[in-house]
Amino acid sequence: MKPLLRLLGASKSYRMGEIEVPALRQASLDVLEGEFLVILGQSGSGKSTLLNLLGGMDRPTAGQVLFGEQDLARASDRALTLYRRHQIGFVFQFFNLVPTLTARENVEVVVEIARQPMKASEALALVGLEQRGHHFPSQLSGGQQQRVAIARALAGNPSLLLCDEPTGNLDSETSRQILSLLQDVNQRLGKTVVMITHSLESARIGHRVAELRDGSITALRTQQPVSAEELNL
Amino acid sequence: MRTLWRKLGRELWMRKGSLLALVAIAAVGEGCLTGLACTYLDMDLARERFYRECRLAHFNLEFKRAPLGFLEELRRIPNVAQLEPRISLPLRVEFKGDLLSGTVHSLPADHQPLNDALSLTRGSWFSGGPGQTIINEAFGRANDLNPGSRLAVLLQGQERKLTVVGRARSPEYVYVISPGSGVVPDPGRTPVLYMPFPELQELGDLEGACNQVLGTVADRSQLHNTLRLLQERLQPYGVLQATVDSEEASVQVLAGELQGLKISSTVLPGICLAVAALVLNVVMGRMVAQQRVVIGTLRALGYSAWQVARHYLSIGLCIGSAGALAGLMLGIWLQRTMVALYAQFYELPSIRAGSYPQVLAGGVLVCLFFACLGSWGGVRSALRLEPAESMRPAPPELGGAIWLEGWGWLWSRMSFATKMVLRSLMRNPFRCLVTAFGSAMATALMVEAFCLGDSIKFLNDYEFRRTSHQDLTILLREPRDWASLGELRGLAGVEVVEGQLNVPCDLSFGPRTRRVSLTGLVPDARLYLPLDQRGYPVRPQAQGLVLSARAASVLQARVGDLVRVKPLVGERRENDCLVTQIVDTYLGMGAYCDLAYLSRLIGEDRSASSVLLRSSAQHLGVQMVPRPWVLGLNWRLTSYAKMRATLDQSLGTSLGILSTFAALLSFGSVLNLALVSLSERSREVGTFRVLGLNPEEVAGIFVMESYLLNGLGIVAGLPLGAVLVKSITASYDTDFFRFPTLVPFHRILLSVGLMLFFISLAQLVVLRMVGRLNWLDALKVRE
Repeated sequence: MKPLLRLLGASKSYRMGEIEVPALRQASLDVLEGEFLVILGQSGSGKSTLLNLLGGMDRPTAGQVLFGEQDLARASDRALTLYRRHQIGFVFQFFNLVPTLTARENVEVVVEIARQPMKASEALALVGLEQRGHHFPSQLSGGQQQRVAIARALAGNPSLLLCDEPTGNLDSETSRQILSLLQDVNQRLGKTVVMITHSLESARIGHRVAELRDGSITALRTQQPVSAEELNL
Repeated sequence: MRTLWRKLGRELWMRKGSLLALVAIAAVGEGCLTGLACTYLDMDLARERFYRECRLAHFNLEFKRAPLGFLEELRRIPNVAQLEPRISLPLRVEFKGDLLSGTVHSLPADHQPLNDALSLTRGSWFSGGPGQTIINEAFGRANDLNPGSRLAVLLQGQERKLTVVGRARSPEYVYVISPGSGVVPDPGRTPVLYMPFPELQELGDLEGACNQVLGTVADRSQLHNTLRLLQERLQPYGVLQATVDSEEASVQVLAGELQGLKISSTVLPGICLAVAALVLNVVMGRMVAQQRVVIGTLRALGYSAWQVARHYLSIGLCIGSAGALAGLMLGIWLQRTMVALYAQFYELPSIRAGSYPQVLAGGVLVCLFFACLGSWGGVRSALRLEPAESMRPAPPELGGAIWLEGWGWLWSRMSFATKMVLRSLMRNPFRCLVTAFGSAMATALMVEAFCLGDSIKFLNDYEFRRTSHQDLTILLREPRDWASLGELRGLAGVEVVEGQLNVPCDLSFGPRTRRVSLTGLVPDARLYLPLDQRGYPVRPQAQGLVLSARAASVLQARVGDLVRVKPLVGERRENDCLVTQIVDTYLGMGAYCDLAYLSRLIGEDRSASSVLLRSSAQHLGVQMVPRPWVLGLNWRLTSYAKMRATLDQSLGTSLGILSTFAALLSFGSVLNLALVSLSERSREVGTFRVLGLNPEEVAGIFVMESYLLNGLGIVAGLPLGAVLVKSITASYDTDFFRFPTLVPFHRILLSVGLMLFFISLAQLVVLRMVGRLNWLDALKVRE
């Protein structure tokens, strides 16, 4: 598999008053096309920073983030916006649905700006929520909200799905369902998926696992993914 | 972006109550702007059109008598474009048992005059028969006099029966201030009649002559020089008065009114739109802070910073557009109401509420501009928010000790709620300023609304009740020997009789000259005495002048200066007179002196031009009818009651409008800012509820904060209101009257009381919101 996205010696630090706080140190990582990559780490290990760099939400302080020939570290705001719009689908821990929009409208937020979008109903059907399109987030369970968020992420036909602790706010049964859905998206739709988690058990569904500690990638291993149904969450 | 529009619509709907209040403030601003600007245009265009079409004379010269042939010589004076003779005489109209003093002017028998032409509203021009007259429209309308009506008049001591052939308006009498009617016109008692020139020549014993010329000049910049030349030439014929158009009472009052309107159309909308923009700024800032994660999500999903910013700008623009739309309707209503009000007082033929698309469009743009300005802070925050940063919770608010905490003995005695309020105030200085500013402006408007009405009422009270104490004023056709008026004392029921002598004089001091009306008062005057600013009566000394502050300021004369007085009647001898006192009166640009002293100045024995009576006699008016030297009667209390009724009606309308605007301003700004404060601290509310405080106790914290800030605003608004009253009354200043700046204590109390009422009303909404707040959710909420 060829790399879809390459992180080459990327560092990121934040300034807090007088102090420079490093969040990511010299991280190098390839995201391979079609794989399910899990980034595993404890709270404060730099997982979200890594995801932000991969998703074009932030630029590294040093190093490169290559998407094909394009170095996201040096890309303009406009180029990063277009990158996120056309290449990336985000799934967040807290779902981040717009509370004043229905499930269908939350998906349409992406449909309206994407180059080759799915229909909103089609995206909702993929996550099994075609009947609940007219419900507002407050009328949906946590699992259903996360499904809407996945439908929204898929609706723009992105190359890469970035999931930030997608089950961090869900019970174990719902978590299993969401992970199963993500696995399905990877296997059936062929989408590359990068998932951040702190759960060792959840990490078992990925093809590869990158372990992060104190801002550094300490291990990168390939594994035989297990089905989400078999996870002991 | 359709979906974002839906989001916007729902979010606006969710906040409909508070945003409606904000829309109302913007609407008031926009409504005042377009309404007052359109009213100004209506009035200004009507004035300009009337003056142009009826050719308002540039100057007007009154003299005793000059042969018509001499006019040719006057016409040859450089810069004189047109010159036309006229005869003007005082006359008495006997109408429904009342004796009304008025004026009759001559007109060419078969065509309009060159200047001060009439705009006929009913009837026709003279048809050639004797005793025909055209009357002024307002007088005819008030007394239901129409073509064919008969009028009994006393002209040059002879009784005549005149037939009304028409009713007309004249550019000379757009606003008529008649003696004894205060500052509000009393058209029903102010007859202005017009008769054919030849007939009036005969009646006035002016065959081959005239006593007035009206005219225009080619170059207006030389108007005063030309007028001086004309006066010099006419000197042998006894010039009584030379007036340029801008000095005419009607022209001056109308110009003053338009000036006041212009100021109001800037100040009022400025205040409302500024408050709306500031409150919107706070509201938008809060909305963006609340939607930090939504903004981050939208950016993560591929929306550009500008697309997000545009979305939030649209929220402000929606509020602005709603305000503009409501403001347009309010403006149109305000324009119609104001124009109808003006039409009661100003005799302009084409005064009507016109449509001015450019003004309406300008108003909408101004409203949208203020909405953009108000939204900009929030929009800028949205623009600056980096996508990665916005996905993280906002950093906790900076909190350090405030300076008050340094006063340990005071700080330790405060309740936790007071400490919270004080910390919140000092950590959010901008919001505090906006809250206080909103209240200050609303208070200022409230004070202005009440006090402007008081100023006008005061001025009428001043003339009718404070300076004057007579029951009846008898105006004489011409000054009479004081001794010959002794017969009035003998009339049954007459208690006090006082003579007064009014003489037009040129007062000169240094290079400055001003024509004023010099009033001679009897030494023991009780029925009329001018008052100084403190309200004390001023009694002229046996010799010397008491100058009104306005005349003193124009002449730059002070007490102790010798002012040259040249009476325009009698022997017309020049005298140097000592200024003994200066009084700051509100009416006219006059001067006062002893009656005998003034009589000596004009070379006559003690004479009077009007007589004041205090009397319990009934039917005194009827007894005056046979006396041909009586020009007219003014019943003080009747006129006063009529003026009060007129003022109450017209002031009631404008006061109601202004105070409603002030109420909306205070309620809207207080409510929005209190709700922002509540939303920012919903987590605190939740915590307090968990700790066992009831909704009233929690709301009490917000109420305390609100009263403290708005209280400061109210205190600041009181002097601002006084400044506003002063600037608006100053804009109405003319030579004929000056509105006092009054800020009476009971009005301050009323304004403060009303402000507290509206603030409390807004607090009730806050209390309800606290009661309805799902505080468990608030505790869970991830900002």
